[in-house]
Amino acid sequence: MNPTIRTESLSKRFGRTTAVDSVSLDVPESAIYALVGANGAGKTTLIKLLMNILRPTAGSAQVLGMDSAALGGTSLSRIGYVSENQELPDGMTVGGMLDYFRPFYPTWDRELEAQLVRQFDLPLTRKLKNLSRGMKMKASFASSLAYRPQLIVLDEPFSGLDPLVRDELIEGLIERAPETTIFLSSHDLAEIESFSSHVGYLHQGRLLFSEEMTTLSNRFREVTITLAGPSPLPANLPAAWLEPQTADCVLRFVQSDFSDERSPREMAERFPAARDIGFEPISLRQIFLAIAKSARGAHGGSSHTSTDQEKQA
Amino acid sequence: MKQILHIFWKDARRLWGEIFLSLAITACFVGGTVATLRNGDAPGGSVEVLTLLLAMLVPVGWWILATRVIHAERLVGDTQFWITRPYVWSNLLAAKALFLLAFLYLPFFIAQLVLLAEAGFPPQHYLAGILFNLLLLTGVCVLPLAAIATVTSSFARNTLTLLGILVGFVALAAAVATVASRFSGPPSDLDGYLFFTPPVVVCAAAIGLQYWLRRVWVARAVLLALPLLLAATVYPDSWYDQARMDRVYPVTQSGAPVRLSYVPVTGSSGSATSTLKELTVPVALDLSETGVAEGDAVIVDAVRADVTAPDGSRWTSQWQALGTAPLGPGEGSVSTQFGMPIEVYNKFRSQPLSVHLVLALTQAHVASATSIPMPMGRFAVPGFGVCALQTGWTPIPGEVTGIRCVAPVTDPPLTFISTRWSSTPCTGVPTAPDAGVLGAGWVGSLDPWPGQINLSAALDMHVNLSNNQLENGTKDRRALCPGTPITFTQYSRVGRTQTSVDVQGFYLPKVVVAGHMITYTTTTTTKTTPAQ
Repeated sequence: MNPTIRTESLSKRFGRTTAVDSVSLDVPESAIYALVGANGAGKTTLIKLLMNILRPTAGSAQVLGMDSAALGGTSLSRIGYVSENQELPDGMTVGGMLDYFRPFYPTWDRELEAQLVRQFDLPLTRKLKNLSRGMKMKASFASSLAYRPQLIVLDEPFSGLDPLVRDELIEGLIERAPETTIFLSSHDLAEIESFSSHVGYLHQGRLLFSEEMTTLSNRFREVTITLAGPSPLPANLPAAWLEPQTADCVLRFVQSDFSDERSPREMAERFPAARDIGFEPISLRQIFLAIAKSARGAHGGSSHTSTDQEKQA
Repeated sequence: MKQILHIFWKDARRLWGEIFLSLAITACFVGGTVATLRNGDAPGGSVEVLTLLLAMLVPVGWWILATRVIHAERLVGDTQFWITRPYVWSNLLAAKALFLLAFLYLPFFIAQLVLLAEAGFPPQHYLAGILFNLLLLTGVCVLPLAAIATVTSSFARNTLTLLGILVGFVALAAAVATVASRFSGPPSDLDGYLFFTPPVVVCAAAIGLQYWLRRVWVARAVLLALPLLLAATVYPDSWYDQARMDRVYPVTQSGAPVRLSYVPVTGSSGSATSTLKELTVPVALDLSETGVAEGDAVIVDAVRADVTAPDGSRWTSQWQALGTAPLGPGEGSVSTQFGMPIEVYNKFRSQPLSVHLVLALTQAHVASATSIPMPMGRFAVPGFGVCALQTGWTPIPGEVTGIRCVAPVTDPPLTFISTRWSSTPCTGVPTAPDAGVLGAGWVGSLDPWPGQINLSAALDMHVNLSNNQLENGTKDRRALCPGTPITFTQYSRVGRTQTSVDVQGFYLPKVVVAGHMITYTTTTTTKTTPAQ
């Protein structure tokens, strides 16, 4: 099955600044792919490259089987795009905007439109410029979901929204999930953890990993080893052990290549005198923090050079 | 087509205010012009002044309309709502063009039809001229405004950009004038194309690029190349003007159609502003003319001077444009003038010089003549236009000061208008053709274009028929009496040729240079040689 989105060494530079650095990723069909990363990581730039709003400096991207650089015109009728920065035709009412967009899309579903209007409680007669930020996002969602796009691209869609609006939008999205592929960016891990099927982590323009959420959760564990006595941090720890630290007799780190079968045996062999070895699942937030801190430490703050630790992660 | 109309109607609904403003300005302009045409308002009358102001506002209305409609789906930036929607760029461009067609061109076209009809011309006869005028207005006004709108992100930025361009344009015009003044020949057929075609091509390219690719900096670079392109055309154009003179104005075996000889003038003085880069001294020589055949008219288009000092040193000017009033049969005079660089002037000053003037002449011949007893109201002159007596702001209200004519779409053919002024108030008896004072004037052009850049297809012309009433106040009061014959003699080109005049012992004018201002005084010469 062809992926809905595929990038190959996709890069974008603005002068001396590299916003997206040789990113290669696949987004399978029907996935809910969350691209996460801190502010300034390059998420919005990557999305703009996928939508042909920006042109890549190097590499290429395929979106719905098309070269992203050729994306435009009628091909956009299969893609829904919502961004926190996107302008709306402010002079129009909500109803006027939906009326205006409707003829652009052959697949526009009037019933779904009515359902979304009800679901989001949209005031059809009010001008967009008079709406709150949350209402504008809802209107934008409705206008991008009503034609049942094959791909929905969302750039920080929930940023700055109150929890109620955010939940409404997520609910609207999840309802569409079976029939579409969703690619969204966020810097808030908690908001995407509950419904994403795939996740990619972008750090200073580089994609540190991109995989299924379940695989990711399964391979990360917080490992706590209680040693016989106080001990310094051992040298030459594996690169897959992130954020190692010791306190008295306890060695603690995040293992990024956990295996049910292999890891307990490996720990027992490495620390034969250990009194206790514990493996605890960790949240997505903890995983990212561990990776981000490791990457920062490895980069010394600013370098873009990939390290063994990053690769291992 | 469906998408084009869909975007068009959206713009029409959203921009009704701008549409209304532009239509209102156009309507008021048409109203003012119609009132002026109907009332024969005096030059400078309140209605005419108001109409002039409205004429300046019409392009402002176009600017607002074109900019706002293009900015409704602006092309600069990456956050616009439409760029991730299934807009087809060619449809978007077509929708904007349709909008301008509907709310700018169509009202303007209708306005021209109304004005022509009001002026007494059947509009259907002048459709080609109106369309040509629209083409010219598109090239010099609408396309540049649209191109600037495509590379600006907001109306405020557009306004600032436009102001910057106006300042730059003034600087460029000054620079071009500096170059052109040194090489100016008579305008060639190429001039119009050279200065019209590059802006049209460049602006159209910038608009097309922006809609097709949305590459803002590429489009901006293309637009910025325009001044350079225009500046670059000045030299080849000047070279072309100079190079073609001997071919276009050949020396003929049959001799010149006019005899010219130098007339020494004493004590004339004046001042002139020099070019920016180089101080140029204006050297004037008055010539008397005889020998123009009956039915002919001669126009001195350009002059070239060859100056020789007693020590044998010599300076030859480029061809320099003159554009004098046509010379007719009988005795008359013509003032020629050429510019001399200050360093040349300093070399030749205070010496008796030999000046060899070569003059480029256009000979015209009567094509038709129409004589009409002067009516009280408007009267039509076939092949020319519609005229009426002109009343001015003289001490006596309603006193006739000349005639006012309206021509359709473009300049009329070169026409000599003549009549007789009565030295006494009109008594109901027409002035006899050989009585009173001759009143005459030239209007029109030997090479009228099919249309010209003008907001009104009814071209207003004031001809005071050599009446000096205004200048002399109540002295030499004259009257143009009903029934007096007024003759419109139209000329067509017969040919072009050269003639020359030799002047011996000519002294250059005395000049005082202060900054870029030259004050000069012409002194006498000692000897003249008849024209060849």
